[in-house]
Amino acid sequence: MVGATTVLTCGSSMDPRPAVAAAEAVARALQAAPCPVFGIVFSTCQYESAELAAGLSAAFGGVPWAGCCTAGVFAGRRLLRPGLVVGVLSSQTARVRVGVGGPLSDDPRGAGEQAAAAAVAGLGPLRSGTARAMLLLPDAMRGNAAEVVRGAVREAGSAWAWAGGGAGHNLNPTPTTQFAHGVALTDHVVAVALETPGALAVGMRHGWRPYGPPAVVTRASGCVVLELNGEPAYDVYRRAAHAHGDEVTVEGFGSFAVTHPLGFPQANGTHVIRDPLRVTQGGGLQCVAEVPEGCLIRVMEGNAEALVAAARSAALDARRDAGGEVGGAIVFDCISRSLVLGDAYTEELAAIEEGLGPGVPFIGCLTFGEVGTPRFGVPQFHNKTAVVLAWSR
Amino acid sequence: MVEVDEPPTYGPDDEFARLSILQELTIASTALFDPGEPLDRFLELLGARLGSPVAICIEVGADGKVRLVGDAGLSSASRSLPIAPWPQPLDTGPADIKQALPYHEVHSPDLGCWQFRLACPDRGRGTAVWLVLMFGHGAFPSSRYRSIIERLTSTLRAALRQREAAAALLAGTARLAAANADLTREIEVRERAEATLRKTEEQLRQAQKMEAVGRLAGGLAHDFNNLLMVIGGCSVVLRKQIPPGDRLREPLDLIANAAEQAGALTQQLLAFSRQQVLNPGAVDINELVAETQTMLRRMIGEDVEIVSTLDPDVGAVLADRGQLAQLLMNLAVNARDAMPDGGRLTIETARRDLDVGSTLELVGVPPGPYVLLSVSDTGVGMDAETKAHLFEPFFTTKELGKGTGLGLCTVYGTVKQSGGAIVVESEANRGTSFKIYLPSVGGSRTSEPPSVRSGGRSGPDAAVGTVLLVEDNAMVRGVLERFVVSSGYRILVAASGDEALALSAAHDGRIDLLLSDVIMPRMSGAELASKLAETRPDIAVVLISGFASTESISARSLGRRASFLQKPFTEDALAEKLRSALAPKPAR
Repeated sequence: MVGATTVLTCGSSMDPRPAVAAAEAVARALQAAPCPVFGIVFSTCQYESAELAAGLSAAFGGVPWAGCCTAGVFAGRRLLRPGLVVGVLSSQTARVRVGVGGPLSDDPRGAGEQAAAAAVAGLGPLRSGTARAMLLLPDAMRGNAAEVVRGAVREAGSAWAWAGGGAGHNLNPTPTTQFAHGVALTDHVVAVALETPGALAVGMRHGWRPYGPPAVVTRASGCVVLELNGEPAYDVYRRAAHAHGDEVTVEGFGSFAVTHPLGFPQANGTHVIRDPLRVTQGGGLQCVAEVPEGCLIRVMEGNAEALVAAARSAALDARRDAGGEVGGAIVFDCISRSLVLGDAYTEELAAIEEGLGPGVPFIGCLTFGEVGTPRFGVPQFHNKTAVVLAWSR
Repeated sequence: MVEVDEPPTYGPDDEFARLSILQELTIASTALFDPGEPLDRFLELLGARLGSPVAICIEVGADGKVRLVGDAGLSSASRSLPIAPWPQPLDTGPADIKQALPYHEVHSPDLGCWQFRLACPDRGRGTAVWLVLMFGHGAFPSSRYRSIIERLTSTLRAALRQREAAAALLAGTARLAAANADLTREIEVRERAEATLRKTEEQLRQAQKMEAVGRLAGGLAHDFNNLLMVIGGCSVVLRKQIPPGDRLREPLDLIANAAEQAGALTQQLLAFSRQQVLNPGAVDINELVAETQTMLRRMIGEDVEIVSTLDPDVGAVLADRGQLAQLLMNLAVNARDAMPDGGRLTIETARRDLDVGSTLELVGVPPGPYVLLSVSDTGVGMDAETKAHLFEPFFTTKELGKGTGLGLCTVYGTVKQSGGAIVVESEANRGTSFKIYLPSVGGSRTSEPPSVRSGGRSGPDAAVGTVLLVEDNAMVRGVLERFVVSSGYRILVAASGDEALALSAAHDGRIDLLLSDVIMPRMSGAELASKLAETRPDIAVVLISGFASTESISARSLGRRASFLQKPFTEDALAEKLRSALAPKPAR
């Protein structure tokens, strides 16, 4: 008996053949879906994207679907690398619409506006007693994803539960894939507008805490912090580590920075995290997303325990704000968190499962940057963060 | 389980965050003063840092109308909703701002409202700027941010004023630029008009000068023709009395030849002064050019290439065919002399429909269809000084004895008398082009000029009848009397029109022909002919003149039985004219 409930049923496959994997995962998800209205798909990047899209469309039949490829996927606490996970939303009243924008590298803000406008237009006016969420799945390897988010918010407004994550890959140089309208795309953003009869809520936590002293971003260009306090950013970063007895080299920067990102503060005391990837020529720090010039920034630190706890808190927040029994959840968890945790990453998935409550179905992926906002906050593009979108059953 | 994110564990983080946000927003707010920078970008940053999902900047005008000047977090659908007029007073507004705004985002039950207003509304202007930030219930970060927001609101107001000023400046600059562009265009139009006017005035002056010179030349030709009539006539009389071989015969022949050559010169002067008698008809200009090619080739020599570019649809012009041929000859000779080392002579014809603007530059011709006859050479060209005197009689750049200075002035007279215009384009060492516009008459076939051919007898036995000779110049009159008598006619002689009428009235017999000068004091020859016709309707008329304008001698004034003979003429020419005039005319 479904009634006015909105539930998620999941399926997965680790078969390396795209068509087989698609058929298996979708069949499992649909098998238990009482009233399927939409399918959300996350795949690892090993699959040939066009073949996978064709297989998924065939398997879904008339059920609309969308998704993206990422570095890793999970259904419940089971991490699949490689693999394919499928979540099917079942509801008699929920509505889902998909929009696409791009090319993202030409005009990221415009791509966000375009995708959101198409998704919102399909839903029509807000129905009384319903809630809405917007999922954004941008190509995080092309263009400025923070601008994509601002463009989408500019079109749809902030009065949604915003969640999402950057499509990525398993740290190899292949293009990322976004799926919408039955085809595989790259350099695009997919927006999924979701309206449910019950509450929708987003929990978002990262677990990183201040480590170094504040420094002013005196020069930045896009995703590169060029100078802090008028010095090459790497020099300031290195001194902050040295003050804690940690020695950083250019060669070893990547592995050190995985556990020591940058963060700039928000008025509520939290930090927006930026993930520095490498040292550029001239001593700049190349990050996963833009860093605003003029802000104060500091080196952050974190450990496995704090990260897992943050993931649990994110799930708890989402569960609390969804109110009542959770019908399902979609999780966007930064790939770097899995790198920090290593084999212990399953603890993070277990913590999310624990936070959502026993038996709550969820699927998710390891993303390159996350989209989200804490309750009634401002949707932004984050790094190294866990985002949980949950809805009441 | 570890507590995360709150409370901060590293030093005075709350103060750090406040300073960080203050600094970032302060730096970012400098962009507000740039009119090209979207205000929304700043509001997006403000909302993000403070955690406000909806940040709105509105301006309340003096009339209470509210304008949304920027927002972050509104949907595009909400952004386009109209805003109700703002309740007074400006600095307080409604107690619950959510009720004043139409945006459904603002009406979310989970969003509280924390409103910030400008500390000092602009009461002089009666306007106010409001910055409205929405927060979830209990989500506003700290009262310590109030000072930041108030400061930023002041900055926003200042920035909006500056943007207004910049926009007004830009608009003013744009208006000035547009006005400047209009003015520049007007000046250009005026300059073009003035240049056209100057050119037209110059052409008018030139035309007036040519008109004056023409009148002078015509007057001189008239007087000279009378003198030449006497000289030539007397030499003929004397030649009849002095046998060949007499020592006086040679100087007498020289006198006769000189008189004949002088007559040709005065004829050219008459052509220039537009007082030659034309036989106008429809002339196919292409046919004329083709007919004259052979003659032109002989005249200009083999080192000059002749190129003809003739428009097959050019049609015909109304002109004297012989004069047009002479015109072509004169221009060709002029071109040849301008190309001593050879070159190219180009003759072109084309149709041209001249509008009012075009005819402004062609003094004296009305708008309408014209035939353009262009004669161009690749010769030495002319300087401005030469061009200014080009058509004046006896003006020549040729060395002494090589030219009379009457060729181009004849061309000018023929064109003007035919109702056309002539334009010269020339620069030193760049050749010369004469462009002649002649009124088009349509069609392309040459029509024969209306003429009356003699069908009468010739020979001495035909010289029967009475001629009434009227001539005010005594010397000419004497010569003519001799000519008429010598031809075998009876003669009545009068010195004026009145005297002639009196003679006619007194003469009971038949008067077969009136032989009269055209221009005489009190009564012209044409008038006299008209009056005589009242009492002698069958009288034949031969008018003679050394100065005959088309106004005084038209086909209408000559009548069916009238004809004209240009002074000076020979005894034989007069005898032939008299025989022709007295010959029986075919019935009409």
